[in-house]
Amino acid sequence: MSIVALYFFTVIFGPLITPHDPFKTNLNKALLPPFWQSEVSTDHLLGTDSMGRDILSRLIYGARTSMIVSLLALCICAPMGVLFGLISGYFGGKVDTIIMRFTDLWMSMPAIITAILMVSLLGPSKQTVIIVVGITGWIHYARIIRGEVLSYKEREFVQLARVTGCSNTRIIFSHIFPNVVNSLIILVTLDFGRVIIITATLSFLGLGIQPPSAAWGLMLAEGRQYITYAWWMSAFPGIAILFAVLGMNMTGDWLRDVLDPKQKLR
Amino acid sequence: MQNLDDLIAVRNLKKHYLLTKGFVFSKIAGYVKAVDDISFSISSGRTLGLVGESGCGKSTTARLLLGLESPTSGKVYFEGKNISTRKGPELIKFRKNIQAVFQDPFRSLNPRKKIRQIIAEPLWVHKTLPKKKISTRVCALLETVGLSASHADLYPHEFSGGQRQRIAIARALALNPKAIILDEPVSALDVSIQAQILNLLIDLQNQFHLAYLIISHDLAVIEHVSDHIGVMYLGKLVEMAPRDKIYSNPLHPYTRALLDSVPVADPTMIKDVGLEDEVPSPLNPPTGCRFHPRCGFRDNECSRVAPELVDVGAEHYVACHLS
Repeated sequence: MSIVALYFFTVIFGPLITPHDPFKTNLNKALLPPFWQSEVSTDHLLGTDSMGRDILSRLIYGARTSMIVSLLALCICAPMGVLFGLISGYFGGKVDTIIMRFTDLWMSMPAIITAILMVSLLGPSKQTVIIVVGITGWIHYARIIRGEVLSYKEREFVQLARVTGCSNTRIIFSHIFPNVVNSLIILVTLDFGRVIIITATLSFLGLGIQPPSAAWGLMLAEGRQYITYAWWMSAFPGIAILFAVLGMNMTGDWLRDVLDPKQKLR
Repeated sequence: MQNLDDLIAVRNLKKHYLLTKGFVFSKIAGYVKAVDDISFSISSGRTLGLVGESGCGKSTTARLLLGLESPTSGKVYFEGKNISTRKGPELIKFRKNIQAVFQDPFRSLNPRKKIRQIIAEPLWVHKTLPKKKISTRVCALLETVGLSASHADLYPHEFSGGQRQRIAIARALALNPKAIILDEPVSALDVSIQAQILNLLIDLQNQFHLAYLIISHDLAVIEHVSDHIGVMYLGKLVEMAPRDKIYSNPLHPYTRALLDSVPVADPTMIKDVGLEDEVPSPLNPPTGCRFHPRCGFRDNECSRVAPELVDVGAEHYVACHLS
């Protein structure tokens, strides 16, 4: 939780707390080690990269980038998955079969391969990453929401809504959807971690965020060739990714316990 | 049988579920005859009770009347008009007339909605009341079922089982229906609460002239509220009669066995109920009379010819060769 809180804090107040301009290059100060190894100065807490840019500042800006990309990607894939899941689960029959076979097909291909293919078709940029991550991610939502809908569909209150004469749209959005919101929140939180990793992977491969923007995956890639004598260049972005994902997953687990209606309502 | 002018008249109603085998080229593996050729009527202000073991088709009958399932064949008349073929807006409009209360009050109320929203929903959907009056109507309904208006802004999980069932009843009453289908309305409740809810139902019936179809496996419940009683076995009605006739003069061996199976508060009494085995599978029902494998009085004819439901006088119908 505190990791996530810190993450959100840096995202929101990023520009205010960065010690240096993350884009300002200074070749005189290139490849400075972090402060505890540095004899020269403790000015750059986590050292500088090959261009003399401050790593800590770039990490903070990277957090913003990853957050914006992830949030926007989630805004694409969550509603899409939820919509397909609701339709598939509620109507069943042929619609359900078509949607579910499509998700099977999609799942049989590794998401990252699909993503790489799409990026190479659309050309690498921030927008492409958002679209690609969004489109590859909706499958999980559709499947899980569908399962939930199936169990709620047979509940008495849904049957009663039909007896009352509610339209299908009304039943789906007014009776079933509010009951799957909990799972949705948990799913989104857990998925956040996955999206961060995919975004970082794409950036690492040079298919995502383009230099000179600050992004964790990109920083990893830039540090790769200096790893033997400037370990800090790639280690710190790696640690940042690790903790961001870990924090999101743990928050997801915590939310699952807190929001579980069985613990709360019965 | 009875005439079609009754509020609800059901004629030769059948619901067969198709079972298929195989994945791509599926074959018909058989039919589950959940409801097989039953007929009955309910008039305004009266109650028909349906009893039977689990799996005998009671609840399917209720779902057919509510239009949640469409019948394989047969007709349901409501005020003389066939309603079993209605679809779309016509069906939605018709639904005002028949409402339902289901068994489990913990599952029949949407846990995410306030009581006010739950009870008012039928009114929103059918737009029978101007928006301003809905709130007063909800309060009036709550008071009708013995709750107070202050309960309107609570969530279902804040109520006990009996209170929830009252809320479910209030919701069913919201549209001033002419009939209510009660599917095991009290079997999920404590015995002390059961009587309260049943008495409430009887009061409401007298007040609003409602017709009830009450479904239960509990003979005491059925006896308490019903005017007529139908006994179902494996999708068929085996006996139907006014309440007192069923209890004083049961003619079908299955009815007798059911009545004998009611426990008596006498620990020294040992009963011989005379029912062996389980109910046979409705997928492969016995030939002839469906009850014959378990019947103590069977003869050769029973296993060959299915008995018809015949009138033995004074509105008493029975499907048995021996009576």
